[in-house]
Amino acid sequence: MPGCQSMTTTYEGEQHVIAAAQHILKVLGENKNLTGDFRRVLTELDSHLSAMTIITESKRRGFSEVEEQLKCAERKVMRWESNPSLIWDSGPTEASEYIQAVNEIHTVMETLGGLSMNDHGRPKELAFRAQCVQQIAMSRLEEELYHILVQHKQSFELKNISFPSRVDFVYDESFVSVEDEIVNDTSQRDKSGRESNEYIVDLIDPLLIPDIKSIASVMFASGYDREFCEAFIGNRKDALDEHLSNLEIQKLSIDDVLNSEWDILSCEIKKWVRAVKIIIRVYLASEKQFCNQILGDFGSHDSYCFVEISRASIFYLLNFGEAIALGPYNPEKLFRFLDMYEVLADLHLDMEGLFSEVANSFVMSEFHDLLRRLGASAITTFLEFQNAIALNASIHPFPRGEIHPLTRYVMNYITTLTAYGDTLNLLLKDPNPVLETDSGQDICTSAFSPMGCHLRSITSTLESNLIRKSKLYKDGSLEHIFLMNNIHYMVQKVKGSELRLFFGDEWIRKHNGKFQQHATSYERATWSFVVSLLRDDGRTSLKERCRRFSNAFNDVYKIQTRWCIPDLQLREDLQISTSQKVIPAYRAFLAINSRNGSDKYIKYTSDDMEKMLLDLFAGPSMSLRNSHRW
Amino acid sequence: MPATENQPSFLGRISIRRNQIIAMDGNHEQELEDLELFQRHIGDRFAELLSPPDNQDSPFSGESFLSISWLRKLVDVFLCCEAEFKAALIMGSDPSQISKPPLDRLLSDYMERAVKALDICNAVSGGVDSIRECQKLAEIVVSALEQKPIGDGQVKRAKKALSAMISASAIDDKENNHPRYAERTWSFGRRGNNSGGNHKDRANHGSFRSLSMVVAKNWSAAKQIQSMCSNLAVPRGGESTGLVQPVYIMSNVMVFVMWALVAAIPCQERSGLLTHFQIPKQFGWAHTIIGMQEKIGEEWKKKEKKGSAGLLEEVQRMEKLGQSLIEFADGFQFPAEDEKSEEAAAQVAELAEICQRMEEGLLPLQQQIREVFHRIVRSRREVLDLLDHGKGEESSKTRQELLTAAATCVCHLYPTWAALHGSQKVVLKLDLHDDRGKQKAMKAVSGLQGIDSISMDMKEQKLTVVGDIDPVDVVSKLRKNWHTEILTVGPAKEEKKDEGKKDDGKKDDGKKDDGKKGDDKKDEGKKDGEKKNPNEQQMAELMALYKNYYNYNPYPPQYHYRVISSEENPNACAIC
Repeated sequence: MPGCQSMTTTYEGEQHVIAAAQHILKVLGENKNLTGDFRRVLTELDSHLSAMTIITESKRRGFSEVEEQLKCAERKVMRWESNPSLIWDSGPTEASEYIQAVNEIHTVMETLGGLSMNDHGRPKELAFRAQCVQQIAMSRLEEELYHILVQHKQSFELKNISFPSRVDFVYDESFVSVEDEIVNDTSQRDKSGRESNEYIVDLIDPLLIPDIKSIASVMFASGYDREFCEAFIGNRKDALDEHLSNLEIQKLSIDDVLNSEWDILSCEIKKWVRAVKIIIRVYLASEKQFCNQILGDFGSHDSYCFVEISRASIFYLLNFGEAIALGPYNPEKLFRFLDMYEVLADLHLDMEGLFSEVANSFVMSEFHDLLRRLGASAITTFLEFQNAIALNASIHPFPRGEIHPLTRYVMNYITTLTAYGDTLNLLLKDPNPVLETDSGQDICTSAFSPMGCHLRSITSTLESNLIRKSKLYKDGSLEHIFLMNNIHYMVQKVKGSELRLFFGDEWIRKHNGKFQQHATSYERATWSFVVSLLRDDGRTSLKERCRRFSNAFNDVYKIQTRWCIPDLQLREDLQISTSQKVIPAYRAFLAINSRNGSDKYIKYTSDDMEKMLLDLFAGPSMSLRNSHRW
Repeated sequence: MPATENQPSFLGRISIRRNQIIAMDGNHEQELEDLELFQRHIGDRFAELLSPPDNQDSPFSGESFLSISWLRKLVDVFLCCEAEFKAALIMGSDPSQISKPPLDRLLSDYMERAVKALDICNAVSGGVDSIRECQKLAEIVVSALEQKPIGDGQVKRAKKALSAMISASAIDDKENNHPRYAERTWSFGRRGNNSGGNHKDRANHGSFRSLSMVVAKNWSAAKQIQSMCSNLAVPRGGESTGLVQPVYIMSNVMVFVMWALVAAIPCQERSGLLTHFQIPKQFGWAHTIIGMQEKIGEEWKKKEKKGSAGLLEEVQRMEKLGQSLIEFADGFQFPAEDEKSEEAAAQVAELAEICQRMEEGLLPLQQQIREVFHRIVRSRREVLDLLDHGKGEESSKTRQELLTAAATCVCHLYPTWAALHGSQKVVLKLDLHDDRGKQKAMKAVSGLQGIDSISMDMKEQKLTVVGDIDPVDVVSKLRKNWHTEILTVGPAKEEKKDEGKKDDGKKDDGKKDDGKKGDDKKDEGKKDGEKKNPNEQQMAELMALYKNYYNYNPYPPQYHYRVISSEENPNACAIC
């Protein structure tokens, strides 16, 4: 340190200056708002100053005192070598004494380093000795560090970290047996307001952070920065891996993923979605902060360590996503794809925050790749879903003209989809959307959004499939009942959910018309003929007309009581409108013919008939209950 | 290597000729040429890898067999071959051919193989990570021993890092080795059961922890290679159309490249790797590959004796240097003898050079492997689409009809609300209580297009919006934040109500539907036209790529790492 030698003349004055400078540094250092750079400058200055003190001191006190200092420090270090307990477990004074000793060794080495250049023999020997003690101390510190990191790992209940998240849909993913009630509340979505520090937790007991930091600074000062980083990285990496397994993330190979049953995979995906969120938003954010707390003063080491710690876990998580995105695009996967897409899109900013300063943007590009791939998979699946509907073929007519499982499936499926409306709109508009802070805010959930168009297109595919299915019925009336039932169901579903917004009133009005049309067509197909039998065409006798009418009515009753209109309101409406068509005609017929003494031919009173009409479309249960009539 | 071996062998030619006779297509003359080119290119590329042109005399030039840069070239070659193969596959045949046996089966086998290769990519990438960890330890060694003069302390420091490094690389393919757990128990028990040996080295540190980070527990690289080889049967002349050969060749290339990567870089469970993969000798293109395989095989056998971690040249040298440096450290006494310390200094310099090379090469290698991963994923998708398309053409006329009949974008059938209804007045009940809310609501609504006026009655919590708007839009904007009910919707001015008209519309539905069917058919035509377009575009792109390859220019510009690679290794371009 040539500058300092020329700078001062008297020892006393020099000491005062240095002490004052050190004091200033200390005060400055207590300021919390310092930037990393500035803090580093301060630390450097500090160490320079201490070196200056030593040098000047050594000059004053001479070589023997340096030796004494080293011996003292050596004693302290070696004392612990034979002690089985850990220094940092033995109390703060012990720890700070040890650090003090290591610092002394360091300063001794610096002093000797200045001297031994031009001086051989004793100082050099002393320097080597100091080096040895330093190595022992460093090795010890590394151990202590390991121990602190392992022992004082904060464990916290994951349950305490809760994200406002969507209600987990219980969704029956097969074409058969889809209950109506399963999809109830699809609108509880989160667009959680995000504060960057919201989820940061203490990975290590915060009380120990100064300890770790002191180990770090002493190891860095002694040139053992690599050792510190390796030990630190190794330990934190393990910890992160442990968190992954605590989140029940199993390491699956891509092969495994592709060969798994969907149910299992679906579970894994749910776990993944949760894990990704927690790992990135909680653990990695905390890890980054932790790295910064410990290593922020030492240049770029903190971001290097952070990347090394997080890489393997991030890649594992991304690879799972890649593996899922590979798979065949069955309709039931859409929701999981969207879940995955949304969670990543949601975490996009967090990731940017974590990895933006890092020169190596490899992680980010991989992240974007996966996001893109998942988006594409979701859209492909969505479009594939329509294909699946178009291709769903039946050989046999669906019994009783009830609501076809396909209809239920499709409508429930798209009702569930409305919860993902924003994302789907975004993806349909542009398969590779630019992620903004408020993604999807400006695309409205309207009938003319891309999503609205696609949904209507899906239902029209469904309709044409249903029309195809209806052609399988031999009875034209049942064909109409079937279509009426199914279209009515669709309309009800649309009206009763968020779908309303996507389909628009126009669609509802049109489809209301459609099923009413089918109701009318049914009446025409069944009852026009039956009623026409009552008409006096001048050729058939009254008796014959009565007989024919009764037979026809009986046939209709026998057959159509077995048909089913599951919706009570709809059933009632149709019964009433049928009554209104048939009963007046029958009354009129009775009124005209009562005079002719035709009572013996008349099988039913109009009241009987009205009652019987109420038995129609009740389905199998009704026909069993009323079987006594016939 | 004699030049003739790079040409397709006589046998290879024969089998191609036979194919030609079987498939009597006009295109086949072209296809045949393509195939021949494809085979020759593969032969050529691998030939260069087998014997790098210049650097044979200088053994540690950094370009030598199984070095990092050699592996990077190998991966490059794979990417080239893969691109060429895909071009041949997608252009060389019509989809219907692809979806017929035997190609459909062969291709789906190929795809399965490709998926298995993905796992290998990941495992190898993890292996690279573990090598990097070794590199970090080696750097500690270097920085300790670089100091002059060397003292006891630095030697001890180096020794510690060295033994960690060596034990890390010794931990290899044995299944039950879980260094991490050993380490953990050590960390806890270290001081607790004071069993004398205080300063155990962190030998158990086990740098190869990364291996278990990446892949599943019971995953085995050797088994994976083995299962990639299953179904890899030599196509019989009788059943091969033009494409059967390329699929077979490419499969072999893929398995070989994966095999070589696994051999070079530490991977989980590699025992028996050597026996799992054999390439039949009768093919011209295979000679170079077989040559390389034999060479790697020999190395592997040596390795098994030594118990080394990977065949990667740098790793092997690092291990060797590590061993001799540890001997140096063990025998070190202060002050060091000049001769010994000079020798050590040379070794340290070499180790430093290796570290440097690793520092420069490992991450790019890892990125290249990642590129392979992505490439395989993309290609797989494309080929699956192709297969789908082929099948589609045969079987699903009905499906096409159905789809288009129903699904021609409904958008066209639905003019906008405003166009249908003209200016609207919408009155809404909003659950709002303060001015801030009011402002927010007004702001939300005012973002919509076509608004003429907005007014809010706070007393009655009524919001009135007038304009060319869709009430649904308005409501959906507001529903995000407030409970919203529509009170009335009506024309803005008192116009004639066209209710009657609408009713007519309903009755006409049946007719309308008929009319629509006609429209749909038109649209169907349109759709088909559109569908073909992107296909053609893709073809054109591929054609361009393909030609590029034939011009011996295998570097399409999109690979970011390539820029680096060609700068760093002047030889990188020499492959192709």
